[in-house]
Amino acid sequence: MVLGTRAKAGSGQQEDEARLLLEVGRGDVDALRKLYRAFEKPLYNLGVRWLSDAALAEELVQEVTLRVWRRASVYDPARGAASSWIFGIARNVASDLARARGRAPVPSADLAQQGSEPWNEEAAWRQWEIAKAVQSLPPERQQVLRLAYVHRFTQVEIARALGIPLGTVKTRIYQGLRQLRDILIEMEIVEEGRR
Amino acid sequence: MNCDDLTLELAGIATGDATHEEQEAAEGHLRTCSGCRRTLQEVRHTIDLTRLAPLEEDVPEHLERDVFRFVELQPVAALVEAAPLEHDPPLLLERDAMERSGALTAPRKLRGWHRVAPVLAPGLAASLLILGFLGVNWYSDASDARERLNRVNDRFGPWGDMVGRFELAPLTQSTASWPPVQGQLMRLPRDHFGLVLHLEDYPPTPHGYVCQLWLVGEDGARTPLGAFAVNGGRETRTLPLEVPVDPRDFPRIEVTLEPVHDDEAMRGPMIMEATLDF
Repeated sequence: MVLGTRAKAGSGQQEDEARLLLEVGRGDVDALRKLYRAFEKPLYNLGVRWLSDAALAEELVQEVTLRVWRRASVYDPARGAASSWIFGIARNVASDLARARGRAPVPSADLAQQGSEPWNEEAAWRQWEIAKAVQSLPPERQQVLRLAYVHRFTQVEIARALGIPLGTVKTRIYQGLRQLRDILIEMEIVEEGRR
Repeated sequence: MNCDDLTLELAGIATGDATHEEQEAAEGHLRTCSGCRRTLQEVRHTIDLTRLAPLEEDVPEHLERDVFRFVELQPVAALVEAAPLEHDPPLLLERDAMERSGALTAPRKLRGWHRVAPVLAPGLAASLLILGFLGVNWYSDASDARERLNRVNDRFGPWGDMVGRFELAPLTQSTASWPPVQGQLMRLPRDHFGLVLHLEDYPPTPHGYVCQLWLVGEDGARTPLGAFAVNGGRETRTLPLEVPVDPRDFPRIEVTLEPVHDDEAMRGPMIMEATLDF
């Protein structure tokens, strides 16, 4: 799979990112900040997974943001989605950091258990896109999905931790999953009708 | 249980988070409802994907602020990148230019300047320090020194006072032929100290090695001051070093020849030593 053709232009999120990136290319710091907030958490977490070092992950986020800021003016939406473009930068910076520190990028624990190659770009790309999709959900839905499926809290534990009724937790989780699925279909991570 | 009742339980059923009663009731409905079975599969698949999301770590709160501080500095960085500073001018360019313009008298005896240096005011040492920081080697005879010093002080302001002098004497047989290195201790602004070393006629440092300076305490403990290497010819050079401690608290300064390495552990032989008595 070619990075630039990974995602078709046309989805709302992709159009938003492309628009923001073009604005960044014209020197708009506010646009950079909006874009940053969409990729900060996925990028930081991928950095921790790849580099096994929180400080290096911070360096990764910083360097990627600076490169996006400096190079956004050469971004061409016709050649690929903004997300692919930023991911490509992230991959290069991570490789540079890993090389500089004498480490190779490593897969997540889950990927390692599946016997993946040390650097599985397709898996990393998928993780990046899913994380950005989760990040695009309303904050209260994001929160319950992270607690339920990233931190593996039970629904009862989530209700207790957040101080909200169990029924509210179930509603937010269900609505969050439905909305996330729609986004993933739009991003072509999930095929419509796929079960 | 009907389809509407089941909807909110699907996520719990998919992950085994539902109670036993909820599970049994759901299974009863799912046996007869293909639509809910399909939805359950979709929910399971979406949950599996969500679990892949790299979102387990909270991002440090300071990160966005730090990143955007750097972003704000980018216009300055771009100006610096564009500035024509990629090449160092030849070491003697400034002196030659000033001589040609008539602002300086050509030196009569290039290697004799250090013999007259001791009689100059502490300001000469200050000027050497400044010139050292600028990476410029500048020497002339005594008749020009005060004029130059005034010009330098006018331009940069005075740079501290000389506290004292020392002489690093070669210690080993292999360095016995080296000339002693003259050094000066300078008091810099804000109670900082600096050392100026006059490495005239100092031989090139062997490739892969540096000369490491140490302040040595009464108890023999060493405080690293920095390292230098002399490359190329035997031209006059000054080496300014800002010192992180008050050198007057130390009775001795030593130089060791160290292989280039990342840490400041002493590995190599001592090649020069000076007693400090400030």
